Amino acid sequence: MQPTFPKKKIGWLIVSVLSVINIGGLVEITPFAASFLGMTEAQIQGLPADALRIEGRDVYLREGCGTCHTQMIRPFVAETERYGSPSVLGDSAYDHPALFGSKRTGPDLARIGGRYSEYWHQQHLRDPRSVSLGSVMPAYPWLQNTIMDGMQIASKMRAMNTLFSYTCPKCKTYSEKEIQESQGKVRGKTEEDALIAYLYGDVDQPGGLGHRFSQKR
Amino acid sequence: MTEFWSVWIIVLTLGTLLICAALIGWDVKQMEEEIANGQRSPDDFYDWGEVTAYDRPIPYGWLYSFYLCVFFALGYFFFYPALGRLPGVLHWTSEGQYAQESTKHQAQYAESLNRYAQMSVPEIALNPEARHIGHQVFLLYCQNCHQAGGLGTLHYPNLTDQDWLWGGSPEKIEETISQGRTGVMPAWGALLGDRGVEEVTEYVVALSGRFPTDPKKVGAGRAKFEEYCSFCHAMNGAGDTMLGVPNLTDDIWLHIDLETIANVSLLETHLKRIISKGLNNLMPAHWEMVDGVKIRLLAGYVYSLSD
Amino acid sequence: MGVKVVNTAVENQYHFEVVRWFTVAAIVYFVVGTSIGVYIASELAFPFLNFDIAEITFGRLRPLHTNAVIFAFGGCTLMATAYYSVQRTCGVPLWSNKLAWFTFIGWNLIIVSAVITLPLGMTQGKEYAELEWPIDLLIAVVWLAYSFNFIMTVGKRKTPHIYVSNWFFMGMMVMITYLHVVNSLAIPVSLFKSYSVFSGVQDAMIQWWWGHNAVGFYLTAGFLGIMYYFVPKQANRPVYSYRLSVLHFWSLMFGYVWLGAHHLQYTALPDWTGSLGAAISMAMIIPSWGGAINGMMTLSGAWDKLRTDYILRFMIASLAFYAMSTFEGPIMATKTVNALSHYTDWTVGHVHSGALGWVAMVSSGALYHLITRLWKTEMYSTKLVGLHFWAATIGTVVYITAMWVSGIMQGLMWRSYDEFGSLSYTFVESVAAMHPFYAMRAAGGLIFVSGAVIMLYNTIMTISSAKNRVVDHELAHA
Repeated sequence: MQPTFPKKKIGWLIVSVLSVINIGGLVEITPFAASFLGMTEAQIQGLPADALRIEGRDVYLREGCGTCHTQMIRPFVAETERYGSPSVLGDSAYDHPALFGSKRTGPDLARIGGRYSEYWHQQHLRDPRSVSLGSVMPAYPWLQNTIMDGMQIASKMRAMNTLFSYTCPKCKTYSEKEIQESQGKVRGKTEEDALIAYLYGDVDQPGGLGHRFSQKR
Repeated sequence: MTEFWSVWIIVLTLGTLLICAALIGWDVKQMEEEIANGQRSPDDFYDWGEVTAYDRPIPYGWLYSFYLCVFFALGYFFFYPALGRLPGVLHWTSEGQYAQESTKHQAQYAESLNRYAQMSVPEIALNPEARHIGHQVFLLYCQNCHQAGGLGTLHYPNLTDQDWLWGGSPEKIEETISQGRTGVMPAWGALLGDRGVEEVTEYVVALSGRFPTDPKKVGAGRAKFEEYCSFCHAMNGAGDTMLGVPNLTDDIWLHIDLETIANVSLLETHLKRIISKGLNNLMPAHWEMVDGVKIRLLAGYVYSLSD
Repeated sequence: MGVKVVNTAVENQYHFEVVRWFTVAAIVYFVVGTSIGVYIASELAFPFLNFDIAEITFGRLRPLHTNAVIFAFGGCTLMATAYYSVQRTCGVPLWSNKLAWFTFIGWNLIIVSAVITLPLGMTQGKEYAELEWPIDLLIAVVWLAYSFNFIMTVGKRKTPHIYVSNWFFMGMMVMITYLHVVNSLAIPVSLFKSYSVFSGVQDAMIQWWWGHNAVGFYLTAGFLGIMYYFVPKQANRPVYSYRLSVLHFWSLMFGYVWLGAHHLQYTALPDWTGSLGAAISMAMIIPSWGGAINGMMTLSGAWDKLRTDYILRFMIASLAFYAMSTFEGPIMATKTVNALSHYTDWTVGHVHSGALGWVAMVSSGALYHLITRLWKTEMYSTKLVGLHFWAATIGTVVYITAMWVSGIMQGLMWRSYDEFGSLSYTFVESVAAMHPFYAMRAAGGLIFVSGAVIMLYNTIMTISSAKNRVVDHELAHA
């Protein structure tokens, strides 16, 4: 006895599967391409991170900080009281890739900029339990000993410019001057300096995690 | 989102869901007909040689549960925003939910906090329940730096003593918490040069009185100190609470851990670093993070620590 | 390996040597991948285990764990079982034995690259897709070779109709190719550093389109393919309902893709996408259960086999965990539950009930079956298979219970207020409260790993003494 449903042709099966699986993506993802490109400048928060903060963010990525820390504040009172105003579309426009995270073994860091002094970050990175009793975070003492040479930062910034111009036309890009000066800004600094610069943010130009605690409270 | 994408989402979502439901329905019907016609029996099975499979009809329990789930999904679309720009019957938004939650939250606790709203900082310091609330706020926002009990540590002041960088009056404490403070000292390395930094260091060691010093270096250092440093630190190094500048002649050192200073050269190393590189200490402004009443309660708690 | 036993003429045509190698590799990676898991779990319970060594810190090792269990263990299992079952169900040898060996070498090269690059921190920073761009390219090539070989084999089959396990494998192959290519799009800056083409919410959506469909198509469809072949074969019974398999196959192919958005509830993702994700997630419970029902009911009329057949026990228990996880998942996808569960250990618990309860256990069952057929023998020790079963089940239950408790506790602690409207707990207090559960989870994982070690031991003993115990299962069950 043979099945009545014709599953005879492998080619048809593949085509059918391809058609069917694409529907979900067409509905949920393709509108993003359009809406993202149509995002207004007002929604994009500030400027992209400067040279030192780019390096800092790359340290964040390398050490896998995102496996324990999120950067996405949800609109719940318990959350906004603890971490700051809810994260919005534009907060992460410059983040390639996005660092929303999926687990809070440690607290959310979306609006940590300007909340802790550089010294606190130094102590915390070198020995988390010295300032945060009960923490399970690993220590990162090697960061203070690794001095950066800045050889890659210019090409990183150029890569970012390419990405920004294609995927986010309203985003700002790095000027040629900024790119020329970038190696000088990075060379001689430690990876710890870079990571702290990223975590601390910048009072004047929010970049990296420099978004202040409340954008609109 | 534009009208186009909204229609796109609606058509694709509803269209494909309905097509699926129709296909399932059609297939089930077909099978029922075939069984009725005697064209197939529930014991039929297919043989691939290697494996075989019965062609049992779809279990009705499964099928109806599936319909129920699809119905639930459609219900979700009806009530909530899901289909393009359609807001759903409930006009629910996550922003709206948050606004409602915030209002409700504030209203819920306003009453219990009200009795403290009129209290002054010293009154709070004397009231155990008020202090308790302040303490909880302290745990949430302050303990990470100021440590348990406000005892402080390197870079973060001890709140239990009488030494206040920015003034220890109740008003000043509340202001400090609310506005935040920055502990910035410029980097003097470039201006003073290595020798200048050494001399100023010697003078500061002399001011501290902790170790013997070289009078000639101290003299040179004082000259430079009075020329550059006294604007903030005052002529005699006494500091200035208007600017948050510490007194260099006392025994309380915020940025150097005195317990690790066994000899003068260790102290000098630290001082040279601070003088040439400067300092950038920070206490964040809490008016953004914490409600006004809670800030006052917190100030009362902190005030009580140094009593 | 290389033990030549008397084969029927039909058997001689199949290319099973590569399957043997993949089978053993899968079991080795099973032990390796789960052991890394226990180590990082222990790091969370006892942070001194990071030893201030960059390469073994939690943040660097976690992606190695996930890649090792999903791609090294899971991948070798999928390749072994797919290459085996496609030949048997189509009645023809693999379209290209050489290409299959290429995938063996290529896949292992990928695994070795992962072991080297991930602890060094060379990562794209995207969950379950951390490997940097040169390795991504190799993955695409090897995966295409695997898929192409499989599809061509099906294309030249002797049976006119394609058996259901092959549709599931194919659905997986097609979708994973697509997902991997799109999600891995990046601009390289140097040999092991690149930046994702997408950013922000757009990237988050792509990441979870990949992430959830890796679950839906790789860990679900692929392993359902395994289930649909190995359960009826081990039970020696027909599958319960062909028609049900058709329906739930297409529902899964259609519906799973929509679910990615449920990882982003209440984030900066627009509300409508989250709603779609949640609603369709609920609708997916029943199609998933179609697989569980079909598998379990295959035993209808033969339930007593479970008393003596431990391999079958693995498979049926895995289906129970599968049903549970595919119910838990949609519940967690709804906005209300998600508001509590997101970012907590409950998510981790859910992942592992699926990964340990479903994926690992159905794989164990299938791999044991494969060993008995490929080396024409019984397992060296049935008792040890039984012991492995209990270790796996108990380990899984201890793990997920620990995570349910800690996850819900976290969620509640984070949102708890005292009577004056202050948050009751500082974040670090919630971390401290997790400690006993992190320890319990590591213990559960250790029990599970011990089962995997038992499996490896049993396998080695079985293979090395296979010729003493020749059993031709095909003749026995003719």
